[in-house]
Amino acid sequence: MSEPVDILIVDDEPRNLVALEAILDGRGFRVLKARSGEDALRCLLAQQIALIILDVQMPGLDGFATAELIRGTERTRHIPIIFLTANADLERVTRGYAHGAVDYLFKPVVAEVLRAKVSVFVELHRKTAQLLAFERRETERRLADERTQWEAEALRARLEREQAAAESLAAANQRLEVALEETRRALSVRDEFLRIASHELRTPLTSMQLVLDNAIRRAGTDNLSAEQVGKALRTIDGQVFRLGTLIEELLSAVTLESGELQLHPGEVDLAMAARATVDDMEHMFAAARCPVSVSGPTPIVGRWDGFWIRQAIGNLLANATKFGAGNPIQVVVDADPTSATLAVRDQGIGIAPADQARIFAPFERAVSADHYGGFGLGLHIVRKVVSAHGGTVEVASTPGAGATFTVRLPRQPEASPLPP
Amino acid sequence: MQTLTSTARAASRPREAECDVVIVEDDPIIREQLAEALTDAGMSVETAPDGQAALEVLEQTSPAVVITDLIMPGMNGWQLAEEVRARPRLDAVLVLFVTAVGNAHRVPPGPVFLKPLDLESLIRAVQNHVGHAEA
Repeated sequence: MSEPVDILIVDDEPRNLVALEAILDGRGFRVLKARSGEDALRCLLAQQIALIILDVQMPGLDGFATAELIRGTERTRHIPIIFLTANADLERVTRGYAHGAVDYLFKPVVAEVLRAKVSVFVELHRKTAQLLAFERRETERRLADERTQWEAEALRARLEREQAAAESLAAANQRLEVALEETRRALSVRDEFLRIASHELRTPLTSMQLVLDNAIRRAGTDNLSAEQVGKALRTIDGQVFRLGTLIEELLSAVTLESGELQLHPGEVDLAMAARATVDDMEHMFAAARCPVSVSGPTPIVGRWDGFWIRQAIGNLLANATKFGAGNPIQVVVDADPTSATLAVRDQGIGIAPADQARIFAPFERAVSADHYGGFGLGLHIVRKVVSAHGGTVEVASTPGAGATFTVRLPRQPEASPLPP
Repeated sequence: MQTLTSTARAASRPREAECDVVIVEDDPIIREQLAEALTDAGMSVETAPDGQAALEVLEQTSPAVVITDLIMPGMNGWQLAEEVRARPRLDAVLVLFVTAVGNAHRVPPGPVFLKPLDLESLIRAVQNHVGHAEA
């Protein structure tokens, strides 16, 4: 470090100042001169001084008084002072140290001694300055490090917050997508159901309308026999029954879905219920060319809700007719002391193993709605009714070789709420 | 071959005789009543309960019009229309669709009559084409 260092020489004798300056000149110092203590103090206010060489004996403020003022000022108290004195008596030296001197030189000044002492202080000043600069740089670097670290942490925290926000947004979005997909599916199931429901309800209506149109036209041409009138009325009667059954099925589904099924159990003969249901559906079996047989012991009495039991049997028979048209249907009832069974066996198209569990869910069908009508609710209603009675319904089928649906009902069912 | 509901009428004619209309419908009442209405309107009618049976009827006759239901077990109305179109011999046959499905998700490839049926316009449509075919 070769920065010039300022040294202040204070002496009231101009000759001494010139002599001292000459000794120190050209050694890398800049020499400032003051001719009194007051001069020295003024100079110290304006300059950064590394070392003061101070004559003790001066008019006005002498060396000790000047040193005292220098020590009393915060800005200057650390500046080393070398006193110059003519008298080497001990009393003065002691007093000088008390006023903050760091060294003494006795007049006449020996040039080498002065240069050596000055060099030591200047070197000390330079080292101190280096150390301070180093410390300042260290402090600045540490502060910069701390700030960088703090900023990095703040950034990381912000990123984490933003990431968490993005994740929760993505999760919310995901939930919305799922909800939307469920809604879309529910809507499309509902549309499909309405499409099929309209088909189902319009078909018997069309039959009746055609029978009536034909009868009315023939009546107009007096071409209608009493026998034809009877046939037309029986056909209409059958279609009214079919329409009523369909509406009943729809209402049953609505009732079951809203969870309002209240069972009214009473003494019911399962064998008689099966026969009565078969009799009610005679039109349908005849139209589908399905001979139906009912076999098994009678009576089979249990505590069930007669209305819903007949509804379930009717749905199983309607399915057997639809998918086993042209083939016989067997209904077999049986019982042991605790439970009763009813099996409906058809010789229709059968159900693939993969579809056997699915067909009991609402609106499900094992076959395309482009080939078979129906609400897709029949088996769903059967399962709901049977479950409400504490019973089970199972299917056994080989595709192409028909299906057998078996309902098992406890004869004294525990009070069992309808599953949701 | 499935039973033909109008066998009594059909039996009185030789099998290879031309008929005007073939009705394809799985619901027996609708099939029978439609046949009755068209017969009363002066047309000769054959019937079939599904697409496969209809194709067997069409092997032996070339009607002017086929009236078919859409939703049927086995071969349905869409499939039957494709089969008819694939047979050059049946090029002149007009396929009319009758359906209770108001909003079918696949549009049938031809005129559609919704159930319950407006019999008058159905008969008129059939007569127009039968007259045209005979002219």
